[in-house]
Amino acid sequence: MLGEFEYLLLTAAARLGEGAYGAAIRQEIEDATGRRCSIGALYTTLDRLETKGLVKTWMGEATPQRGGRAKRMVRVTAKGIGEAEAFYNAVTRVSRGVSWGATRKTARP
Amino acid sequence: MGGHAENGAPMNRMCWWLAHRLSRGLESGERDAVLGDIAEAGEAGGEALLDLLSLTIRRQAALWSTARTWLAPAGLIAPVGMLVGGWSSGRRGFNWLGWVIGQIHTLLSQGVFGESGMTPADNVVRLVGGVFLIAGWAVIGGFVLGSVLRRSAGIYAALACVVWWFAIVIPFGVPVRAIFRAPLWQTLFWLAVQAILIVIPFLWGVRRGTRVGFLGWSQMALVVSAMASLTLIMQVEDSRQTLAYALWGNGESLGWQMVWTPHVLPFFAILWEFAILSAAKEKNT
Repeated sequence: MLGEFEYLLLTAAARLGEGAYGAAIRQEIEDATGRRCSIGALYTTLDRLETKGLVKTWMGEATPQRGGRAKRMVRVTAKGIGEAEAFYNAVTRVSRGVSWGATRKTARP
Repeated sequence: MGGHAENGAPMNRMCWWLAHRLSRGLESGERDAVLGDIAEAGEAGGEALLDLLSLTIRRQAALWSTARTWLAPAGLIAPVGMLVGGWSSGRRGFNWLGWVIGQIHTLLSQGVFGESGMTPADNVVRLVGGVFLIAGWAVIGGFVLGSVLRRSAGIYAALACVVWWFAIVIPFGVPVRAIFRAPLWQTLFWLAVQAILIVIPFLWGVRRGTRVGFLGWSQMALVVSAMASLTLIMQVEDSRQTLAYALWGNGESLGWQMVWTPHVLPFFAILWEFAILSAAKEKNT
């Protein structure tokens, strides 16, 4: 089973498709969660996912706005898609019948 | 978003300098990707540096969880044994530091005993050979360490230098009273010999090992042959000198007799380093 951050990273990479690389994935995660995503967390998680065979990474081209430095490109593998789907289905199933808006109103402080 | 420049001062030249220093703890590909991400995202300087520090620490910590990092000092056993064993135990055959000091002393103060059959050229050959042998061992030790460890080699190199100075050099200092009378000069001379013959070549070796990685088989064979030949020549010279002075004490002269008292340990030590480099190379290919 994936961790929450692993799922976020896989989803961001899948959404970006061909344009998935470190900085873009980070931006995508930050936009979606409204929280800061540290470079350390991103790259160590990326390594973990690659070790598990859920993503494939390679060094891409360099661009001037990156000071001529190469990008670490990311592609989600078939196994990664399967794991992300399983995580999404589990979250959907466990959330069925729960309305967080209604629950908040009845929750004790 | 959180780390971008609107939340703090942007990366300036000082921040970039620090970022480059910190990123040395990362693999070259990852270093490029991370520094590029920072440049592209227009990170705030402080947060970018903290991020980079955190990633470097994680990577270094991960390195120390591998057996290779803990076993790497095995690559230092042979060079340290070769450089220290002789002078701390007083054994002949690989006491090259004491040997070099002795040659300097002979050349500087008492001169060469011509009656023994030895010439100043013999002393110069021994001095140069001894210097190359010691520096060669230091370079090989550093190279093996840098080659096997790469990113964590710096920590070991610093540790090795500290141990060298405080645990080995100071307690086992070779007496240099014959060359300098003042204790200050004796100490400075001893430290200078250590720095020039051991510490600087060792650190250079670490740097080369980190950058070059692994030697090809032909290069390794060349290094092993060179060290073995030099060791053999120096052992022959050591035996010749010992015999010459022994004969001279009895009123005889050595002439051009060629003698060799074999000491096999240095040759095993060379093979040990070769084996470690080969094993690390095989594992990486």
